[in-house]
Amino acid sequence: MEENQFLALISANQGIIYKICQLYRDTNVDREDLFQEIVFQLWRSIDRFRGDAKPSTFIYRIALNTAITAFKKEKRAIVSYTDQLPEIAMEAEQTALVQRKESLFAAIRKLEEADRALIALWLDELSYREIGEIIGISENNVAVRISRIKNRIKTTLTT
Amino acid sequence: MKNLWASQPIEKKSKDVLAEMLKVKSHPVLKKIKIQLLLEMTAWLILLAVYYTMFDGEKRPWFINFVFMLGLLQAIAYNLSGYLAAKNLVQGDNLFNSFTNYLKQLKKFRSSAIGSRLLLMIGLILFFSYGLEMNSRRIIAILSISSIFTLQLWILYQQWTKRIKKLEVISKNFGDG
Repeated sequence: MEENQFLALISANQGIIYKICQLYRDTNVDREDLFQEIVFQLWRSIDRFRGDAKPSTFIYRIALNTAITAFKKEKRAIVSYTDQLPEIAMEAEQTALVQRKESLFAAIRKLEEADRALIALWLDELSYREIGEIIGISENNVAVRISRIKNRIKTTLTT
Repeated sequence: MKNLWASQPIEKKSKDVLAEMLKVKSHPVLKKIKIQLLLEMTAWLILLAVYYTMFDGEKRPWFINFVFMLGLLQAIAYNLSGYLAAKNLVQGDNLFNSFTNYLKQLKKFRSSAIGSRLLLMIGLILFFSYGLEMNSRRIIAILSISSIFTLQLWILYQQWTKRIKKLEVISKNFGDG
């Protein structure tokens, strides 16, 4: 695949990489490093993409593989700053939505690496068959595990 | 849950920024490994070039020279192979297979990392201590240097083992029903 074609493919699917970085790293610097590592590994692996699966399935597989195996710096004390000033006029509804999103991501980050991969794929509407192919387990196994993970997230969100 | 997930805003990167990410020189980890590798290799190559005349290589028997050279050359080869391996994190057509293969590779690397460092240390100690008239001060010095080397080996082994164990747990979680 030509570099231009590859860049167009990544550009169109960069949301997948972005979300995986959010799930597997705790700071913005680490997320940026991981994003770059994933793009680099995709470029190195692109010749193995045979086209019999969807490009997004291929991107998920390489991105998750890289997120888990890439060297991860030791955890530092995390000080998080928001890049926006709180606006008093911000709609209460919008604030609630942002909080719910943050809670969901926080609950997913508490899961084991393997479970995080499974739930991310399910949340992005991949079928059990596709998830099974990416992970390397049967469809039945996927269904059972997704059900368990969903329950675990619900418990975390309600406690 | 799916609605919340889908509504997460994405910070889009331009194609120019993405193109820059394909280069080793802007890679966060490989760039550092490459610099370290070049520095180490240059040091070993300079030592190889001058040791025979500057450090009296010609006055030592051939097997001492052989072990010394072998130690340095294999250290260079090992560094290169480590750099190439760091470039390839994806080792299979699904995550479970990829982790299984990657773990096998890491275990081989742990053994070869220890073996390589050990051979280098033996070569250096043998070369620089050969022919010295031994007295208690020199023996203590050689033993101290050997102890530091051994400690280094132990730390290296622990670092590899920690990483392998962590990946073993993840790999098991992927495969478990």
